[in-house]
Amino acid sequence: MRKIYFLFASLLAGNFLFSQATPPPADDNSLSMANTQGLLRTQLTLTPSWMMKGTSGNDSTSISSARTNVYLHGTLEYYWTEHFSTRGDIYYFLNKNSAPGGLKKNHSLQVGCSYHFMKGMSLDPYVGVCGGISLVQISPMDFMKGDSTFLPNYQVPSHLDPVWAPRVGMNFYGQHVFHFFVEAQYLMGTYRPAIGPILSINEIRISAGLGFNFVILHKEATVRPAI
Amino acid sequence: MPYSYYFSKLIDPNPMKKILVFAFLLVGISAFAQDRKPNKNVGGQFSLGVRSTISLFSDAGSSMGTGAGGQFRIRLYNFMNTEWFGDYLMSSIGTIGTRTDYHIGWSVMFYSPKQKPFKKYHPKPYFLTGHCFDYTRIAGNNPFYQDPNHSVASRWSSAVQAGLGFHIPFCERVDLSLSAQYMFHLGKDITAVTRTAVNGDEFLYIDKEEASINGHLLISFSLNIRCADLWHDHQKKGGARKAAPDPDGQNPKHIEQ
Repeated sequence: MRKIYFLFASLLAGNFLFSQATPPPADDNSLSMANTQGLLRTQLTLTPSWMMKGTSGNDSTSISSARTNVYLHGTLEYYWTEHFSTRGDIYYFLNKNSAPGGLKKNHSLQVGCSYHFMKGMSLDPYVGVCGGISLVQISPMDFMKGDSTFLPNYQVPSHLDPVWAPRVGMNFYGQHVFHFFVEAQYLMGTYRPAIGPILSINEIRISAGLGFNFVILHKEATVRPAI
Repeated sequence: MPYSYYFSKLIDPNPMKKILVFAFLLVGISAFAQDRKPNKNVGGQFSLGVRSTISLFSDAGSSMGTGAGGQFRIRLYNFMNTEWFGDYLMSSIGTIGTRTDYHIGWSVMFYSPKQKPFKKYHPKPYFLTGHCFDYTRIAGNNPFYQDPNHSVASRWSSAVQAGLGFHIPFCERVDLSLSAQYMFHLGKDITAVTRTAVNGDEFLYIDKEEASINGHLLISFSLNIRCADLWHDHQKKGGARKAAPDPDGQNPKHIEQ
């Protein structure tokens, strides 16, 4: 009988060991990033961009040169290892140009990957590449034939165009809740409508701001208390 | 009735059987909590991926095209994988026309039969061959010369393709792949000729001809994430995992990407 009580008592002791919770941190701000593996990084920011001239056939053209476009840019990035991450980006075009032939829609959806140079550091410089698709449309315009208007105020249908872009950037992980980031991408693509001229949609997009971290895996290794 | 009577009923004088049952339950729970052992036989791996494609067409006067698409892979054996893809490709014909291609097809990828331990960033080459269906549409974009018979043409064709490629695994789940393959299309030929109107405008004159074989080089970059194992290693009765053959007999943690 005594043996059974001992066994029971030892099982209970084991349960107490399992039921102990990790003591909560005194203050969330005292935690910092130690390791980016298993991290889900998110951000939403405003991104200015500048169109670059690109070649289209024998001509050098741009869909809206000398104009700054602004996008709402959202990112979801997952770090598979400390050096490698995959990401999805969405760009929503905000400041449409209502002038005839101006850029009306240029929304993009991109998927890509990044290589992060440093390991276990607060500074996280990286390079990456992504591919995707852009929904492009220009504002209604007149199509002239000689001196007469052939198609007055004609709205060209919106069009899906494949795009791709190299990217370079830097994250700064000070705290485990959020981070600062700055990045630039050179988007390359060509607008090929059913009607109207073929134009380049190459542009440089620069994003910067505050992003949020969600640690999904390897929580103990990823977040450390600051000393 | 004294309380000691109820305690005597509650505490079995011979509790060994109950303890054993409890112990087995604990073992079962701990077995579920264990991380899955590395699957040494890679057959059954299912990967999802996105791809960007560069197409170098050699007919209808079109220039280099770019495309986007998706794919999934089902690996059958250590030396054989299958890739099922869809592509949306666009290329310009000068500044006066556009060629659009939709590919839907599949390829079989053959790796070296010699198995090697998994290593990050080490390229794994393969030979691939397969079959594809292609819908092509060529259209002129000059609004003044829109002739339904000669400013736009489309066709369905069937293609076979073969080429070479390699994976670069960044971790055990994710790889970046690059492949170059040549596609031979069998279908009605579409010719596009640049013509000049009396006022000097250029436009595309498109015509459909008899069936012929034409081809193009397709270069694909793809990012693939292994997200499931459709069939696991063989299991013995009771759930114990059968040891998978290790061809080198050296590496107990052998995983082939």
